[in-house]
Amino acid sequence: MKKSISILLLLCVLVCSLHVSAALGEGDKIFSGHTIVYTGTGDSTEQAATQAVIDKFMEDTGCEVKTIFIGDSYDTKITAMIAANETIDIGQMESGTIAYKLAEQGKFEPLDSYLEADGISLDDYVGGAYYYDNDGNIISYSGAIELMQMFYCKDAFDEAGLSYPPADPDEAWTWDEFVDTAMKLTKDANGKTPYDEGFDADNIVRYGVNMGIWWPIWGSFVLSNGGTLVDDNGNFALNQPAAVEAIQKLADLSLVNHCMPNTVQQEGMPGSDVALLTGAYAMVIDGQWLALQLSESGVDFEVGAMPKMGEKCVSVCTNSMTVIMADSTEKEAAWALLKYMNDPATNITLFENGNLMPAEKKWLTEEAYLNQWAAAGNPARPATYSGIIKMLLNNAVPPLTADIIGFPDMIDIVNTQMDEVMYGNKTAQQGMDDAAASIEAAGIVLGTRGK
Amino acid sequence: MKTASSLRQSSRSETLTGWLFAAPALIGFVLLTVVPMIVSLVLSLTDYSVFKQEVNFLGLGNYLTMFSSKDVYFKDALKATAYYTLLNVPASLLVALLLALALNTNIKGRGIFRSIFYLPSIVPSVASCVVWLWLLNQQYGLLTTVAKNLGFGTPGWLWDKNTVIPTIVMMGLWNTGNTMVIFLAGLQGIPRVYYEAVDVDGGNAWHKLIYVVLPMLTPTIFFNAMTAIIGSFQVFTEGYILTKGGPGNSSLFYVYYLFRQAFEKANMGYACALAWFLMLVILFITMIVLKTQKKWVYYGGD
Repeated sequence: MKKSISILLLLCVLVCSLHVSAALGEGDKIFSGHTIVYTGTGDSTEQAATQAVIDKFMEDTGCEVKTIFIGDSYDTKITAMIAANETIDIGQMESGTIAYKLAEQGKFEPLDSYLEADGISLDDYVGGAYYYDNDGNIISYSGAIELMQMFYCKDAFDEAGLSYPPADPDEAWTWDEFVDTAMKLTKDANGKTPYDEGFDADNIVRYGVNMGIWWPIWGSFVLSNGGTLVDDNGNFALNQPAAVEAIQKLADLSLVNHCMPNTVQQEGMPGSDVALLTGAYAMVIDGQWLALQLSESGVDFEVGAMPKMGEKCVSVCTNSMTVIMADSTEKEAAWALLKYMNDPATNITLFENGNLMPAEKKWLTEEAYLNQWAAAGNPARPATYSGIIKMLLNNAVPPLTADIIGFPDMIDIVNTQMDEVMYGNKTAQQGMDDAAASIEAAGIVLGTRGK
Repeated sequence: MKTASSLRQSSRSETLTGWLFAAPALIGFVLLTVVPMIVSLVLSLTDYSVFKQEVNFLGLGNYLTMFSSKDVYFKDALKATAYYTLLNVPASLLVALLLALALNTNIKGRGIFRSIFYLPSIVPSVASCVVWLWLLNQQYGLLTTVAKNLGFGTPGWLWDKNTVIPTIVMMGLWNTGNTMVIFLAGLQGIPRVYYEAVDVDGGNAWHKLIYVVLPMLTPTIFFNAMTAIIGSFQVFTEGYILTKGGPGNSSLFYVYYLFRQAFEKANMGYACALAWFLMLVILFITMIVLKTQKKWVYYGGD
């Protein structure tokens, strides 16, 4: 009896001392006992990579991070969470839909003082890496960025005896060179190109090019052609000559030149990876993230600069917005997590596998950093890749969602009309004039964000 | 005296028991239907946005905005929904009725056929949408190939603004199992004597259909028409999953537009107003149909 009591007492002492030592260990860490809620989106690969960063953060800082990944309908879920007053300390936001509606209500913490305190200068980042609110406060900065570029397989070019698309943006194709090549690469079931007599536009087996018709892509060409979406006076400007010309030229790729599937035909085509592999497309213009899909599918692809419509090649960036909520009670911990996530070194996976590009300039220019994500032999980063980095440094413009006030309301109307133009129901001029009329009727206030 | 009071007592306790039995349904109805409806009616008079702290009272402002040029989607949404309803109600009723007539005949394996034609109704609509996407695929789709071989060219199906609504209606016809079952029940409720009377008078199957089946089936047709009209005005899934309202705004169904205003544009107050207007439209049309029933619906008991 006595023996068992002493064993029991000994056990008590042991358990207590273990707890004490555990508590001491926890106490060493900077955010022990703190809990923050993070909401994010993305496919399973991105979620796994993000979770890995968060796990490391939790281990290093002792902070508990409650992660909520939302696959579909991110905006809907976030709206519902905010309506129900659920806590979000830090979260991704969709810059083209609800983000600026929240920013206008002061829901996001301005980050300027945090950046300054930690000595982070945005001059060290490429231009598209951050978002401002209407008052010029920084509400998001990002360690990763995406831009629009060209992908192709050499086979189609070799077969037709054509030269490859230039990767160096300073030597980018003019629009005419691009269209000419795309037409020569297009083939119908009898092997004829759109230049040949008797070309059968209803039975095309290879399209010279394909691209999704959405704002980063048509935006790149509108800007390259000297046009703009909203002018400095806050007027809708896609119905002005330079923009109209660019949009019409894009529509003509399928309507006149027959070198690109129209929006209906696109529905029947396989994904870009399969289409490039089987030669259904010779070239694809898409976001740089396609590199991940292509390399995973084992496509032996090369990359090229965006063709230029006017004087200079332009590539519009997109980048994921991550904000700290103004009503968070754990802003310091949230900021620490944000910095963690924005440093490619914490988890290089998504950069190395082709999903993302770093936004901090040292990662784009210094050999030691470059080798960590774009080393020679990486299937996601082919030999021509230096051209894309050059394009990001010299030819990229920030996401249009960052610069245009009223973007979410405007883009819905523009998209509707863009469908009509691409399908050939309206000319670019008619479509964009109609968009301008709708925007005016709806009373949408447009403007550009000063920096 | 004593008996009367105890009787009253027992009837009172019975009333209480009755209410208690009904309570779960009543509480659910009040908390989950009546209260939210009243809240949404109040919200429809405000500019409530989930994100804003302040809420301003607008009176009928939201309702006026709908009909002004400020809302550039409202007319498109009404048009798409009305077009869908006009096509879907007659088409789905006709197909369900024809199927029910066929399955009501004395054929071999009737039970199996009935199960097969009912089966699509229990397939989740998201799954059936995905299957249809493959059938309609512009390059490899079964239906596209059939249309091509029949010399119709390649229909744009869901991606052409002229064919998107008829295509969605066609997809819906696959799902008429519930309507079909109700028709079948109606058909089996028709007494044999009427058919025998037609036989005696020397009538054929066609006469049976025209003079017996259709008149006796009018209450069933009426019920199915009502539910089809109400259901058609509330169409959502196809616009949300398949087309996102496109191409252009040609399949921007009303309820999907309402959803977008509420959850993508954060105009919750305006979305509530849209919901109440839809309810008025459905109420109005339902009343009209109810009014006409005296003229064409035959109830055997009358």
